[in-house]
Amino acid sequence: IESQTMVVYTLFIVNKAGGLVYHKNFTSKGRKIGGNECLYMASLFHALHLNASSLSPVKNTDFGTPPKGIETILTDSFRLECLRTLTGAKFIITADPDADYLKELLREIYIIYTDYVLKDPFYVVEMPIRLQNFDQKVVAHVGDFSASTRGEMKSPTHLRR
Amino acid sequence: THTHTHTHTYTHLRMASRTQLYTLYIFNRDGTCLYIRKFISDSKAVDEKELEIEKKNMFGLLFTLKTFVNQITPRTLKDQEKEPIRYFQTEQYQLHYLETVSGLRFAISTSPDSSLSMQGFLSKIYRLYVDYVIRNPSYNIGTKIDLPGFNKGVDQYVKALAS
Repeated sequence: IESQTMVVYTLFIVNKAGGLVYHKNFTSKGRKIGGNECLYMASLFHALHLNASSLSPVKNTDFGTPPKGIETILTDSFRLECLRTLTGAKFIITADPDADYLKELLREIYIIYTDYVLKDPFYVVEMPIRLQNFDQKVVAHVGDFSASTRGEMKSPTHLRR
Repeated sequence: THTHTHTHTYTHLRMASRTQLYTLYIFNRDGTCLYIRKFISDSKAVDEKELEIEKKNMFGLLFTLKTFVNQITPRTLKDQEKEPIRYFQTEQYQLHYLETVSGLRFAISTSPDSSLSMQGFLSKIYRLYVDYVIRNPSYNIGTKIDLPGFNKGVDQYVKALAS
């Protein structure tokens, strides 16, 4: 899952109310984030996301569309990308600052989410995700993706259809 | 009425890299907005109340962003250490950020396509601040900046970039 420069740290999935429904640490490098801290951060980000859209210097004139909040944060040690779906869920991922494939990765995780979470008849939307299939799929996919960007795999999973 | 807000009509000002600058902010560590400069022309008059709200909201956003970033960073931070933020981006704009050791915060909003050299831009503004503001004997540190020397310096720098 890791190489010198393309480490993916953590994935968070936040529901439309700002509550955390899923989180996964992908690497033993870096601080592991767990439990209550996660919940707190998910809500913080949810608020930040909305705040940023209301502070936009460009006036948002089309009503009825979801607020255009924070998509990327870049710091000295990490890069954060956020995918906001039309239903209001947010997929947030942190990785190394030079990881440039995160948007694509998030889209594919979203597809895995629709396949393994939403299509599960026992899953209640907006509730915490506790599905082993989904877990395994996500871990495997992030591993595959990071490996493919290092040129180790012949054809990355996301191109094999 | 005389305000410290300095608005120029840079209607079509674009940097050499086609980036459009929006607003430059300078805050000190307790949230006072020392300087605000809008680079796009606004046909309507500046609404002081709205501007005050914008300044407070922007500081609040930056403050919360800092708290969030310090929490989520995978790097283990030493005591009192903070994770330096470079920028964040939405679909509509980018907000570039620079914080000095003394807690002075420089932020500029730009169009979403700017190159990452905006850190250099903010460093330059900081140097202009040191030269024209700090070194000005009539300026009290921590108060609003209303110095023609500084404005001119920023003007000249921005014009030079656009050419």
